Amino acid sequence: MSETLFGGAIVFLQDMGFFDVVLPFLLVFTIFFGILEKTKIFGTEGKDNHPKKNLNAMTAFVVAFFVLAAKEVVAAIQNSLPLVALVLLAILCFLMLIGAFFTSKEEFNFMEFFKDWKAPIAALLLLSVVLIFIYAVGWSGILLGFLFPGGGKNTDYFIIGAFVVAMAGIVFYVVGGKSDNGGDDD
Amino acid sequence: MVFENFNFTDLIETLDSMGFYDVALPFLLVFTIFFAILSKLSLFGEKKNINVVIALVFAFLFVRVSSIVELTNEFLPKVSMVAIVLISLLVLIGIFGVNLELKGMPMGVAFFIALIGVGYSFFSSTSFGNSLPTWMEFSAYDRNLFIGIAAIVVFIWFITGTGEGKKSLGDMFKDFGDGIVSGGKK
Repeated sequence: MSETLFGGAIVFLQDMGFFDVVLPFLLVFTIFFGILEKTKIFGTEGKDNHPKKNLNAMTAFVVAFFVLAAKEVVAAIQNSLPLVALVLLAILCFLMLIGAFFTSKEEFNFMEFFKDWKAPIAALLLLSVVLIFIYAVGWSGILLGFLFPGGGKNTDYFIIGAFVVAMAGIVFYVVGGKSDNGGDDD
Repeated sequence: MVFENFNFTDLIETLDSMGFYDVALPFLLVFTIFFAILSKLSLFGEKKNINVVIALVFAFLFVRVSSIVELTNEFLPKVSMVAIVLISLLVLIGIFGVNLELKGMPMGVAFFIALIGVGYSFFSSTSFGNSLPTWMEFSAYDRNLFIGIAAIVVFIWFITGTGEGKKSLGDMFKDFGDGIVSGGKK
């Protein structure tokens, strides 16, 4: 990366500790400050009920410095955020491809089309973010070791998993099924 | 003449050698996406500066990880190619005077095509496939197992089907698309 002009700039910033110190600090400070300003936890002042900016800023400042002191947290932030951005990029591309089929002159509102899909989509995104952070914190090895002891060479795990999913599917199908006569099951 | 020796290919190569594609463009992309989404969500109220800082941090952390930037550089052109293919397809369909409304079967097909397009673009760009953990390696045994399970499912579906209201593939896509548009309510 360092052989190009922009790449050299990134390397220069990296050598300065911009990514290890400044960016995590800015991120945590900004998020904390923003939340404190919005929630007004420390109360308000003046006639216009402005949030107490100095208290909010000082709290956010201290929390951000504490985060910098925890090297593992900073590393987790550095590892996870690019992956979150990548997932976002993939989702955006998916929306653009669906949008290619959209011929109406109105605005393409994805959630209007996928009204009842909100919960599954939210669950999927939550799962992906949780997995990203598990990976970023370095627990993915522990989790995989727990789920697939012995490196998972044994395909029995797959069979067990498939069996559990199949059983769950059958139970869901039987329990959730409606009677054909339209009346009560009993 | 000022533009006598001007060549667009040279311009692209110059930009490439500057690191424009490896640093500047991914930075701009991630910054813009995050800023747009944060502005739309209004997580921190109407404070634009907070959104700017968070988007900046995400963008900087993104361009720092060269493996993810490389993946993005491979992934996005492929998505663009898929989009161009889709648009060409729609143009060709349009020649016959077909008005594609995004509901019913076209919606179901659009959903799957978009999903497959993004999935293909993403997984053909990553090195995930080359370095799969052992427990995810797909052996001939696993392939046969999948085929066996699929065959059993199809067999059960075929046997338990009443024969009334048997649906073609087109009907299934139509139902799926209708389900999406109506939010699952029929």
